[in-house]
Amino acid sequence: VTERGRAARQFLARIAGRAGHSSAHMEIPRLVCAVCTEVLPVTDAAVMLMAHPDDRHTLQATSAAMSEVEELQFSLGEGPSVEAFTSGGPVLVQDISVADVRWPVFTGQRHPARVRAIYAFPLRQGGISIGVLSLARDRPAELTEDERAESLLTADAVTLTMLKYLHDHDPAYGDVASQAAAHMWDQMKVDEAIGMVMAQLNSSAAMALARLRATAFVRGQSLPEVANEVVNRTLRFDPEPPESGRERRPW
Amino acid sequence: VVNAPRDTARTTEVARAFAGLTDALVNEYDVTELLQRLVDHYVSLLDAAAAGLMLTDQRGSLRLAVATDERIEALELLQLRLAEGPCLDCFRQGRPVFGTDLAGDPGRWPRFVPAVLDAGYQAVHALPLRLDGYTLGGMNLFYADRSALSDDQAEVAQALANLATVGILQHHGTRRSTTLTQQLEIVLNARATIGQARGFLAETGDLGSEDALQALRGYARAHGLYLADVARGIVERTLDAREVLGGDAPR
Repeated sequence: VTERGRAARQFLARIAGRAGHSSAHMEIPRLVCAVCTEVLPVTDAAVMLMAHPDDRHTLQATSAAMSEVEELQFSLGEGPSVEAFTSGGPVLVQDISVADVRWPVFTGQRHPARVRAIYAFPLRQGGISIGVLSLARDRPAELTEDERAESLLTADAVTLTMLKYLHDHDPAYGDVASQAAAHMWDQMKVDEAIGMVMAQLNSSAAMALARLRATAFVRGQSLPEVANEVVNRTLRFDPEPPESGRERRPW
Repeated sequence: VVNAPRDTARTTEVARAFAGLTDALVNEYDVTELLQRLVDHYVSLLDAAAAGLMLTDQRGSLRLAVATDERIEALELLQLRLAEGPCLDCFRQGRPVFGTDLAGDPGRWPRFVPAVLDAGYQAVHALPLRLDGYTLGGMNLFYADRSALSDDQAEVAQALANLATVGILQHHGTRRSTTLTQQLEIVLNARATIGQARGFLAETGDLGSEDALQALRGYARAHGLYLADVARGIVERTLDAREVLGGDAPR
């Protein structure tokens, strides 16, 4: 619990330290990648944001080589990062130059020298997938158990950061960190509340979560508190047209 | 203490359960459903009042995977929140933990025990899910009386826990090469989708959360579908929630 909250807080503090107040939100994926290579023992990082594997949206990476490897996977429709997104679980590959039956075409390609090991983590909150965090090393290597735990915690923090920015572009970091800490044991109620709000609004899960989060932010409550009210049926959402001037995002 | 004639009937019952579970393992199966069947077997085979399974989140803590009912979900989440209880001890130590007479030993888990007694349970046992020296999680058995497990019962209980381990590891094993790291995340993520579907059904049918889950399970069973698939169908709107709710009536 505290581990998760602490990791998220540290991660966000670093991003906050790098991002100016006026920084455009599209700057955030780039900062996220950079911070990943600072806090984790990896040489490259990439964040791919998307709603579906064939609906590629945004790619940010710490090097041209890493971009190339990620682009290749998503254009081929196979590879560890694609598999992480479609399966919903992390895919850890020691050496992408070794043939692998799971992605024969991808492993058959010549890859840039600085990308050898790839550790791909789905960016998910509950059942909502927003993309993949791919980490790379310039030599074949496995992640140790501790490194894996750190990477998973970092992927959680990245997910919350991206959700925060994608949904309301709000730089209120404290809220996100407390949400990360509360996430674990209250996730069940949050999931149920998302489902209920989806039915109330006839919306996607991501949109329902965005409404819940916006309400929590406006009221100065935590997400689980708001979720509890929904589940206890003391709070309902009415369908409303999206706020004017704000782009609707697919996730 | 189990007497002889009942013992024979019980042995047959145990054999049948294992036959059914291993049969599932050599075929295509849904891991959430398999785990749900396993916790149900603890109730039928080991006379437990209820059971729950928690799995490692690979970030240093546990998360709830499945439980026989809502009360157990609440108690399992309470263990996580309090950071004390038999499942956490079992997970940390990697061995079985028996809490046979909780009323007589309230100091063992000073904050967890009162809640367990309040919920109507006198004994709680926890069995580790272990693989090659690594602990994946813990199975919790709740008893309404001060029950100790006999040696035979403890053996059956551990064998069921081992089947859970194999079920998690082996899932998709024949078709795709997935790793335990990936698999654990997939199992825990499936729970989020089920939670959302549950909320969606609760809202659509004006049901309580437990009834919504029963409707979900009932529909899956009646139509020979996987629980996770039905949940995904509801959340992605490829399956009409009203059809799921009208499960009892002929279509």
